[in-house]
Amino acid sequence: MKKLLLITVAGLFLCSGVTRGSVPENAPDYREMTRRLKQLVKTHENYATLESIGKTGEGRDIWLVRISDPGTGDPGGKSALLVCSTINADYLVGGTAIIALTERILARAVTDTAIAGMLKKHTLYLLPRLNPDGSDYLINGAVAPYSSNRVPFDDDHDGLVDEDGPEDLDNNGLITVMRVKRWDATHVATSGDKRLLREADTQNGETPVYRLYSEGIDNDGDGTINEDGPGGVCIDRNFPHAYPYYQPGAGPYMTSEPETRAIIDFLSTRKHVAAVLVYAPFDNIIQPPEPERKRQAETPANDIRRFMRARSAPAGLDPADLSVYTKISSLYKDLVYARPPAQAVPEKPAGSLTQWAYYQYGVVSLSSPFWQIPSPAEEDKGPRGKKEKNGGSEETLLRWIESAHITNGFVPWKPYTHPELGEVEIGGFNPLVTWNPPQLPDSLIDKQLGFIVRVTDLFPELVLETFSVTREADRVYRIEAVVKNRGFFPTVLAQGATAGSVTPTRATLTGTDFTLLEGQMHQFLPPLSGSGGAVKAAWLIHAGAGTKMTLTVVSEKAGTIRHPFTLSAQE
Amino acid sequence: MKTFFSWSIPLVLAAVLLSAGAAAQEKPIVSLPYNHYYSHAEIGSLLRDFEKKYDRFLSLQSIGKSTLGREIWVMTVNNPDTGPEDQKAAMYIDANIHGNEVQGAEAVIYTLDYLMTNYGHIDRVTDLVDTYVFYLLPMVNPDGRMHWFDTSRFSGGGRSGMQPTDDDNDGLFDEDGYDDIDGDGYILRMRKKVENGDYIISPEDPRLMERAAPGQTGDYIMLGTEGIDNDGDGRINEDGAGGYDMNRNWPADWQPDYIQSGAGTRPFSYPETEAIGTFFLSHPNIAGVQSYHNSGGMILRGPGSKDEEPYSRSDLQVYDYIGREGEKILPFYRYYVIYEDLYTVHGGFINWTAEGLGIFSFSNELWSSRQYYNSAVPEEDRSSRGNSGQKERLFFDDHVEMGRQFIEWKPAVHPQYGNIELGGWARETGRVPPMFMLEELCHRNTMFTLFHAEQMPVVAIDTISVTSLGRGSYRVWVTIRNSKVIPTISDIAAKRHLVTPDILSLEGKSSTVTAAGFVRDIYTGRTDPVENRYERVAIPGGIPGQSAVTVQFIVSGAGRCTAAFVSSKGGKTVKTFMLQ
Repeated sequence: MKKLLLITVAGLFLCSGVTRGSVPENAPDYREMTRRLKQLVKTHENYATLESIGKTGEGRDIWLVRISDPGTGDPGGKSALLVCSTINADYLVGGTAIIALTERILARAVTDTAIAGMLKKHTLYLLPRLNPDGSDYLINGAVAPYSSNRVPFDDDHDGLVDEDGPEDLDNNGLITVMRVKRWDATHVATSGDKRLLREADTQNGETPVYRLYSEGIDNDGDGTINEDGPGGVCIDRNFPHAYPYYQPGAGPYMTSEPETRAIIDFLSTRKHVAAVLVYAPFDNIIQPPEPERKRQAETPANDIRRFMRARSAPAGLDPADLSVYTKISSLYKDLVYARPPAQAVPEKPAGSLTQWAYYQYGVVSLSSPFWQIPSPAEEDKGPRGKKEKNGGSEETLLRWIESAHITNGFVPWKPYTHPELGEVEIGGFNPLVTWNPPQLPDSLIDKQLGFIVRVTDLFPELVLETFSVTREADRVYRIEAVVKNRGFFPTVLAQGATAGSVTPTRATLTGTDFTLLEGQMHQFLPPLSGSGGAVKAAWLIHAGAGTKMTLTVVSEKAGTIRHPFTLSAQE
Repeated sequence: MKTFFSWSIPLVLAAVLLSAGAAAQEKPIVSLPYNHYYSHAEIGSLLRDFEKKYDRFLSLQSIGKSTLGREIWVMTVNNPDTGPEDQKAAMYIDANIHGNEVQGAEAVIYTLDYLMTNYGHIDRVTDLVDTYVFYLLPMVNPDGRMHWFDTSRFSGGGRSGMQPTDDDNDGLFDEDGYDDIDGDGYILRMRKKVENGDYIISPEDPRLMERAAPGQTGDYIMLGTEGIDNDGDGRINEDGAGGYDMNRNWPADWQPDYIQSGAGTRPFSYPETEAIGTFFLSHPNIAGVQSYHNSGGMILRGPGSKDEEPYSRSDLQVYDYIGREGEKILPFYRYYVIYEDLYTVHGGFINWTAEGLGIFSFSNELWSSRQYYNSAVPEEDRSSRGNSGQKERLFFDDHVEMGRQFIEWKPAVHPQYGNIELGGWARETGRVPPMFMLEELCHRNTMFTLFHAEQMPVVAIDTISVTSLGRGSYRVWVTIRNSKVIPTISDIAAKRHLVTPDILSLEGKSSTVTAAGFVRDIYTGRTDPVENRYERVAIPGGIPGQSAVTVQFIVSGAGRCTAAFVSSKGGKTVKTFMLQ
């Protein structure tokens, strides 16, 4: 029944280009999400498992669904993709989308050829909400501009913790903006739409009219409104690459938060994860990250240890890794965006999961909003140079809210008598409307799923291209193996090699009774580029005919090859 | 004692009968012997004994377990009669984060012993215990310590914690460490006599090895530290116990392993560092940190790397004062900046406590080989250039240690190298002092660290002056004074918001505070206003060392008022006064 309804709504959307409803959409709270995930995994217990990778500050489980075809080997050994979202509490859409993706993947795990194929070769880790505490605060409370978790934090450094949060003064379920005519004004109404505000252009003789405040009162009498609300650490500013030390939201120190630690520890012990995909209001897919210009291409040492030490962290993408990002970018544009959104959202630089996963964990790390406001037709675009919101101006946003009939997308300004400020007006944008649609378009879930399938298709995959045993003399054998990467990703990203976080591919010869004459027991192979990058490994051994041996090639991201063989008496 | 008895008995009797003071002078200053390295179990039991004996002051707790399940002990020293623990500045002293750097644990125990034994006998010790709190953590890395004790008998073994680590990327963990080939209990050096070697036996001393000079043929090769190829990969000792550095695992200026070797996957990724991190975050009263290491004879302060900002002038005045006094207390020790004078450290422990928590922190590198001699070594006993310092050490070992620290070369059979010889320095030399010098090391470092502790803030409401401004309105000046060198909030803490601001509040049943301000000049009365919350004035910069802050309150009403000052590191102090 539910499914039928979804399709109908989506059908409407496709036909008329019009959606309806309020924001946020009916996102499940933690209890409901937990119930649904447990139910799903129970229904598909062959393919799916549910695990908690840790507890949040308020003691909720951070749920992760693992999906893989049980008939094709250990899910812990196949190259894997992690999809993760709702790191910022107010990015509810990402978590909802991952739940929808999970449902769809499991429903089609056997019937859909592409999905069945993906699950035979790969493992998917789906983590809908890294910040369930924060999202529950929004779902069960007032809708506020709120991205952090719920670990108490003294944001304004006054010795009191979480003592001045917002209040829904106009009782409409939303925390919006108060505008006040005051002597210390900074803003004016825009010349086009009087509902919108912008900073006054005092350089050109414009006199400011309004001062803006977040909706609420000064609970602690310090002269500031809403400066220390509940919680206060933004998980996506708490990761240890380019950590924004001592900045607002970054937390008391790097990886201070239980959620940050949980995902780092999870990934650090699941080295078969070859790519991370984050749904967040930041993009590095449509616009691939800038490569670092000055960097010299380095050939990583393929020894048991990496003696190479960097003096400092790189400032940009390793140029050798750019082709992977460019390829993914063109796939995404083909599969997901027929008409690209008005403007790509730049990748958030400081202390994010996305940055950590590339620079320190050393894998392909992608970030994109799951959904964006459709870009307006050329003639509908507002005046340039205005405040950008989700790739467009506030005018664009407002027009979209109206055309999509989002009932609570913009609150008209209404007078209110404020205990400290006197006569004010309360109104403005719903704080969630920028990123969270009232209804996830069904077709978009399919497109994003198609993209996921194609990304896993690019994963590195090792094959034994040729293998030969040559009898050089009595009891002397030469063993040669050519190992090839037939995927698109390299077996180790350039940054994975630099960071030393991806173990070099290891070719090991074992047997009942033999002596090495040439070559090493563990031969460490260099990173193999995608689309056919190959290397030859050779050994000369001393052993009797009939000796049973095995060649094992182990790559963290490209799989394991086991090749048993017997030494023959013949040439 | 022997000397004592050889004097005359009447003198002893006279001392006992006539002068209690003289008897007090003869009391030992510590109760334990400091000519012994204590095991984890011994330390646990002696700490429990101390706690039992001095139960008024001491409480022992385990703040967590090491990787191998050993307790991480913290002894709290506090006199409850002079106030609760969290209302006094605390000195935190730890040691042995590098398991093989053992003597710091004895130095920490010495501090405990010294404080307890001399309380009530030496005034400054009594004052220290009554004024401050001490958190004493002798072993940060008990697993590494016990590895050094039980397994290796090798001065370099056990720096890391004991979480298995795949150092050589072969998918196996800790599978090829050192081996005691001949079962003598020592991990020594391996040498092999060969036809064409690159080493010779030193003409200076047959126990020493030298590189063959150009044109000279050697008859030995050196084969590294005692061990075999346990995993058959053609390499020796390439994946020993552990393989990381817990003193690179702290969240200030932390960098991943490819920039800072041994850093771990993230800050606090080990149970030992996690336990101590949690302890610090729940003890904001810690105002001084000492973390003992070995060796080299140094009093170290941060920053650990160029990536961190240099310390501000006002903070440096405090560091320089303590550090330079320390050079006098500790002969042969030098006051150094880690990244400038030693090497770069990202994510070091005292870098976190100093730069991430704003606590004045030092790390002493205990013991310097210069201390083998108190004066210059005679020319004939000095090493040539090829054997830097070795000959002096042998001379010392021969003459002052009866030769017990150098294990003479002896033949052994190695599974891969065949006939070899094993020999070299034993464990208790080089990085650790000779046993008979351990007590002096413990004492002098305790003296330095207690000197550091004595600088921690002591804050009092100095004066309250009330001036009538008219009928029922008053100007009240409250002056808060810090009589010690360390400020209640360091400059770096104030700039980075690392420490909760000091708060001065004023309240009275029949009065209200209508304005407040900071008095910048008590003679001219120049005052900067406080914008709001007049009855609860935040002092984000704290009370500087040996200085005072005066806050003005304009109060209307009558009767009794209370001024209360609360500071994370400066304690709590309350004074009442009358509006009149």
